[in-house]
Amino acid sequence: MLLDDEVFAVLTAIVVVASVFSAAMLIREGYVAEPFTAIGLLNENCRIGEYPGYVRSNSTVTLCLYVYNHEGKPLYWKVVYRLGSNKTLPTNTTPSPEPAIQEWRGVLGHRQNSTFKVAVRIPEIPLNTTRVTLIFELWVYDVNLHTWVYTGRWVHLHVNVAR
Amino acid sequence: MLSSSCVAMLARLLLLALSFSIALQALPALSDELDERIGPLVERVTRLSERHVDVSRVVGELDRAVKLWDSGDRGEALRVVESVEVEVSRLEGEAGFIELSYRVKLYATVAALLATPILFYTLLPRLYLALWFRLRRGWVVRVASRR
Repeated sequence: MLLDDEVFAVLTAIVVVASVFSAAMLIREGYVAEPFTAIGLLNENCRIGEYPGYVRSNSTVTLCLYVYNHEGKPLYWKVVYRLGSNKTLPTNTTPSPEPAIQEWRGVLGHRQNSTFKVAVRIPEIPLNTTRVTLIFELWVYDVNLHTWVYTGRWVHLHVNVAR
Repeated sequence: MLSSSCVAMLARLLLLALSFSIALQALPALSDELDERIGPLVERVTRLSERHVDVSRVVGELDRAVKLWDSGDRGEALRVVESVEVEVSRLEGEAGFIELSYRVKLYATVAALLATPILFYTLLPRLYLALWFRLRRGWVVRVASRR
């Protein structure tokens, strides 16, 4: 059987679509349509769930932090830890007004993540406070402004205060 | 007169305020010193990555330097930063050639991909016919007798 014209036309159409699609994918390679960063809070075994429910004044709590970079470029990042309440949580645009207690920094390439254990310091908590919030904010170093910029990403954990 | 519980509470509040103020003052001071070294390097590495230079190793070393600094080993951290500065300078020297070769490879691959349908359209019927005849090389053609 010789090559049928209709079969040949269908095969050619498939090849045209496949080649144009492949070329487009190749040109778009490395282009990040939706750049973002992410932060996650994990328990002391670096797993989701089973977070501590109580903390004591002047103690440390072991937790795990996860940071992911999908900005399409290397990032110099830091996680800032503050102790606050449900009234002093950060927003998408502003960080928490509470003072920073600790911070952890690192450098991540595009599509890289970092998961690391942290010993979170719990400072002296006033006697009348029964519930506090551990706040972790993700900041990145803006290479154009030469300063740290809040990403609008944070995680928090509400815990009771044990006496 | 203040009761003893009030005094204790005031003392705790003072201690809390003091610890927060120490944290506030100490953190930026410690960060700034490292940021002055790492910040410009990250900027240079970002420019390199935009020029399609593989900076994964450099990024890993910078991360190591930051971790060393935060763990208190500042001498080793600075040594790593200095070696990264040398490496980044070397990569900046090679960036022009790396970017050019990347673009040449990219455009050549895209051109080859876009040429595929034309080659397919012109060559496939010929190849198909050649194969068809090759497979039937030994065949004998007989004219069917008319009734």
